[in-house]
Amino acid sequence: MKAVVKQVEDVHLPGIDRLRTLVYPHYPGAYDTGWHAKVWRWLSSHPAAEEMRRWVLVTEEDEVVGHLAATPQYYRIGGRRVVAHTPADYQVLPEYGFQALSLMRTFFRNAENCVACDMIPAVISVEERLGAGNVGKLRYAAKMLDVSRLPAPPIPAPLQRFLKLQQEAAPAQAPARGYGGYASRVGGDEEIRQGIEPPPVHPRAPIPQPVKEVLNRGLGVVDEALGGAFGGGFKVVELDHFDESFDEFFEKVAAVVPCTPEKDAAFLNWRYKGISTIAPVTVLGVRGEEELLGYAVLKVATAGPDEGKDSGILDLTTLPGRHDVARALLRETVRHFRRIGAHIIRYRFMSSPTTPRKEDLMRFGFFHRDSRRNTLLAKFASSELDKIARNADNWSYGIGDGEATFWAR
Amino acid sequence: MDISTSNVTAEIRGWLQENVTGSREIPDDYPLIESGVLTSLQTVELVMFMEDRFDISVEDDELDEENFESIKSIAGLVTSKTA
Repeated sequence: MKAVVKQVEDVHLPGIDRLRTLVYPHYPGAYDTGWHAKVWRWLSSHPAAEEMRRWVLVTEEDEVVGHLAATPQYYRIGGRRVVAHTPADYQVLPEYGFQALSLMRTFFRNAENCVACDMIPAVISVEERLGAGNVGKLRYAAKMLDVSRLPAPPIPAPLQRFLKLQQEAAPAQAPARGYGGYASRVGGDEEIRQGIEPPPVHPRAPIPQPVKEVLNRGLGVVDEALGGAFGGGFKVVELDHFDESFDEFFEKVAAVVPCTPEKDAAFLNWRYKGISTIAPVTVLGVRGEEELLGYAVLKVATAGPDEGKDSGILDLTTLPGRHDVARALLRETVRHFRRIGAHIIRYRFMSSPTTPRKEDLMRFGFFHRDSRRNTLLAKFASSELDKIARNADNWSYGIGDGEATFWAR
Repeated sequence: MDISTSNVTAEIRGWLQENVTGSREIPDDYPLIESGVLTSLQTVELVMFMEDRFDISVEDDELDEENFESIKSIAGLVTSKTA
């Protein structure tokens, strides 16, 4: 079972498309090769794209059994502008698990600086082993807008057996990053797909529709009251694009926060507008008399079983210490997602002076989850920058800032 | 620290049985990687065990298929560092 690491060439691209369907057989998006080609076209339009690297793990028969990319981004660390790479689109067939290490070693040998934001323990362990420092976990806050998302209460096992209830398979759950299932390879592609367990469905509480409507109306009334009480007097407007005021805004943030992705207007327009595959997004902003005070980038799912229902805050950044602005943005975020019929808002971020405080999120009805949190990891060649970057208190980082949401739809 | 190869072999086999293969017996020359027994995460965990148990340091470039292809080769790597 020999396999070697090679740089990606055009001849490998069909093999990478096939690999994705084998690693994520239960995710319909894995079969959408056109969409994935668009993602790579968009990534190739990054100003530092010439520093992007991609590798494949290929067998002696030239079969692609693994893939890893290194996507570059600009960061501001300790006042210095540096490029750091992120391990991206890491996929390996389960039986080539050992060689997955070779791919990641190739990444770390080539990437002078690294910033990663991962959720899968196996990937995090490998990255740590190869030198990345564990900076800390992102907060995960969520807010329910529709009681349809309430989970079903646990049913005792004997009653489940009596009622012949079985856990259903999910038709289209989005995959976690990194290599997925752990099936043993026994034959052709179809057997590999069948050997990988589908993700479980989390059953929802069986609430009758009329009751749901009453409860949801009640939730809406409570949200408006909370928004009125805590949302402040700022006018929040929807913005078409990121103009030059975002450059000034970023410099003010970077002057206070030691570690942050370089989120100037050019980056934000690349990340969320134009040919970005995450578009369309909604951008909310709060402006003072002469300056931008804060903004939020909002996204509702445009594919999959939660299309139109699952929503998220990709980025919410204010001038350092402006918690009043953060509350105003939260107020309008809740209103926006309620208006378009979203069921749940998810928000993952490193707590910093530029983000809402935990108590403010709770005032708006967000609850904090300890599970499914992303871990931020960093490694910088300069020992001075490395020391600064390994301190969670130094970071301003949101889930939309990097690779963790590059494949979000 | 000078440790005999047979002791190291027994310790490695014990770790694999406890963490990877269960009660299944593994011959010393059984191809751990070729047969898909050892994944990258397990390799990382095994290396951490080796470093802790035998007070050695395994470098990144030693994390290759030759050094980890069997219990025998893993034991060889450990003893070469403790001799």
